[in-house]
Amino acid sequence: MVFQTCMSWREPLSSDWRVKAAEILALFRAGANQSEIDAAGDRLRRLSAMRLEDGERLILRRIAKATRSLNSPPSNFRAFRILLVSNRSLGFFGGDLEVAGLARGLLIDVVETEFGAVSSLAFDPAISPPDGPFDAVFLLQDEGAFHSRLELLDAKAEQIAVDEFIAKLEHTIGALSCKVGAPVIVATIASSADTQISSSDTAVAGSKRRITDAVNSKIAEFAAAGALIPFDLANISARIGAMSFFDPVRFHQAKVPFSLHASPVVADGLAALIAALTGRSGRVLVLDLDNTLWGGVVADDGLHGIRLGQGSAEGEAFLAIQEFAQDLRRRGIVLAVCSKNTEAIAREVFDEHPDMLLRNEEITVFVANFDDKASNLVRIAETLDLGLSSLVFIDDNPAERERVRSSLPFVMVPELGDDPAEFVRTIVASGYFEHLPLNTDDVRRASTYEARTAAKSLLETAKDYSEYLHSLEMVLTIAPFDMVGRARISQLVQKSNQFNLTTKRYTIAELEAIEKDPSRLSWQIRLEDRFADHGMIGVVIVEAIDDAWLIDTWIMSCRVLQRGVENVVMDVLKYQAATSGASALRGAFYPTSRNGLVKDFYDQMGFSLTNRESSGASFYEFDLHGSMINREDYPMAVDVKFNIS
Amino acid sequence: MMIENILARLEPIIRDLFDEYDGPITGKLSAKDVEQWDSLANVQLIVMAEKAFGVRFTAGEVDGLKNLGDLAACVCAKIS
Repeated sequence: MVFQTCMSWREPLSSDWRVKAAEILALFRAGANQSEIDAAGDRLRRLSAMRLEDGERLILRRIAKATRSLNSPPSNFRAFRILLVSNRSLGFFGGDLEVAGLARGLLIDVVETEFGAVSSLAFDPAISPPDGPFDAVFLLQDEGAFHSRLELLDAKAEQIAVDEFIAKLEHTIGALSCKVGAPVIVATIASSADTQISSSDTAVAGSKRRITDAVNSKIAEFAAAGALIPFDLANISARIGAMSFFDPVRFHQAKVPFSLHASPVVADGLAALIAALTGRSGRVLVLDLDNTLWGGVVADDGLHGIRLGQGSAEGEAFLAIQEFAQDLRRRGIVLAVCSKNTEAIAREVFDEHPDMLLRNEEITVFVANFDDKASNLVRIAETLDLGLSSLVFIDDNPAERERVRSSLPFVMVPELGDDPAEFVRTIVASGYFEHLPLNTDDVRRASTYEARTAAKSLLETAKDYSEYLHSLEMVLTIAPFDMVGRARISQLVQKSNQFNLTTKRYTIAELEAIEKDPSRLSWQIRLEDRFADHGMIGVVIVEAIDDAWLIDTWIMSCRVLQRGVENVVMDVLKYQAATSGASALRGAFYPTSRNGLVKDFYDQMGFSLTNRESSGASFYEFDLHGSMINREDYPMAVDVKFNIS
Repeated sequence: MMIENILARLEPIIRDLFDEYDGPITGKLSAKDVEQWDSLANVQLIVMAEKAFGVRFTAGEVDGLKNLGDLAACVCAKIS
């Protein structure tokens, strides 16, 4: 298989592509009502996710532009404005990035700084970036950003050059995030095919290759510390092959940092990262069984007739797929099975087959029946309380893939080709499981979902809901913001859409300022129960000034809905405010397309409506005189990690 | 292949690249006739032509292209 730049996980270009694209463009240019625009948006997303050629990409650039000009763009697209900063020309790349965004439901608006503006933006306080706001900055530098040629074998000079470059990089990131007020995505440096002259370059002090390696490992270090978001351009170059990735003619002609064939692949990779940043990556791997996890059909071939395990190339290829599923699980991805089989026969393979790597207990939801797969996928999403857009569906059967794609447009369905040996690399290249540097909550997530599924079956046996809640043995912890929690706090603030009253997207720097501001109260909320540690599931920020405290931000993870958590937290807040001398608590609800879930939140919390604007923004107040909290009634233990007045 | 045939095969590329230009596609067509034909589009045109004909232009050839006719002639020399 030639991987190169064809994006083999995408579905082939349909024969009526241009006709359909032209219809969408005409509709967007003429204007239409919202439901027509939304329906066209769904069609646009599918067209954009096909294997495009240059001509189709040119058409999509125009459609992307027309889509952004709509007064109200398709509601299934998320707007994302990004500033590109580079020591090279990213003119092409910007267009490719806007097109790549469409395939992942992102309406990316690219602004490119002037060619080579890195240093002036970073070091000249008088230079300001283009008008914001931006959701992110993308910083791409190549080997040309290093110092001029060093003497070889001078280790000291090499160290100085690396230190200087890193100091400059650190300063650039700091200045960019401060001037632009958005997180900085930093590309690793791809080692050019032209500068590594010898196999021993990594052993020759002062070679470009050694400086590149040193810079890249520093980028990784900064990323692990949360100072930047890494984009591994070097890995994309390696995957494509440096000889195709770099194009010397184009470089000399137009200072483009990679070939025009590589550009859409790089753009797709960055779009996948933006999807991860905005909570649009896959969270569940849904696996077919026959000819996907093993060779053959277990119902026909029998337990010992299926091909799996050491000794045959095909059997080992299926093992590699199972190993890959386990790797994803260790990163917090939930595993599910969706198979047309008799459940007992399918389960028997997991229990009895000696070469089976995946275990029954690693599969959080196991659906084996003869129903339509699309409805089974809906069932799986419901069981996990996740949206369909969190599912990645892996099935060797093209008919099943097509059926799911056309009836559930939000499920991610990679094309897989004919050979199971190619499945893993195709899924990896799709970027559907792209993620940011992991935190401990992420790696625990898969087991959390298993615990929730277990808790759900407990619910079915409990006599009433309150008994069920008590039986979960929950422990709620409320603590002030701190450095350890900052990455996860930021993740919740940036990504939560549904249980989010005001949808204020604070940057990490702003969150740090809030943490240090004595007039603001900032809480991180964690929950454990007898099945799992759910990690941080809520963030509350309150302006604790004057007589009436204002709830600025109230976010909860939908993982723990219906647990009574919000009632307990609100009681603690009321108590804290009342004992600090406040006479009222105020709250606001700002409606978005995603937070309808909490439109009655303040009513349920006993607040009274004071004003409702025509936009739907609603303002509430709670009179604190005479309010009290009564811990005995809570279905959970509450651990408050601050001095309660 | 004749220059005319090559120009005919370049036409859909030109139409995709320059959707706002609806004039004739001749060998004389150059950047000054088409508003959308900027330096970025010029690079893209070369790459799309390379792909369409399965050829590769050298840096020197790229420098020498003044109009569509030059491009077609360059393709012609490579494939015949």
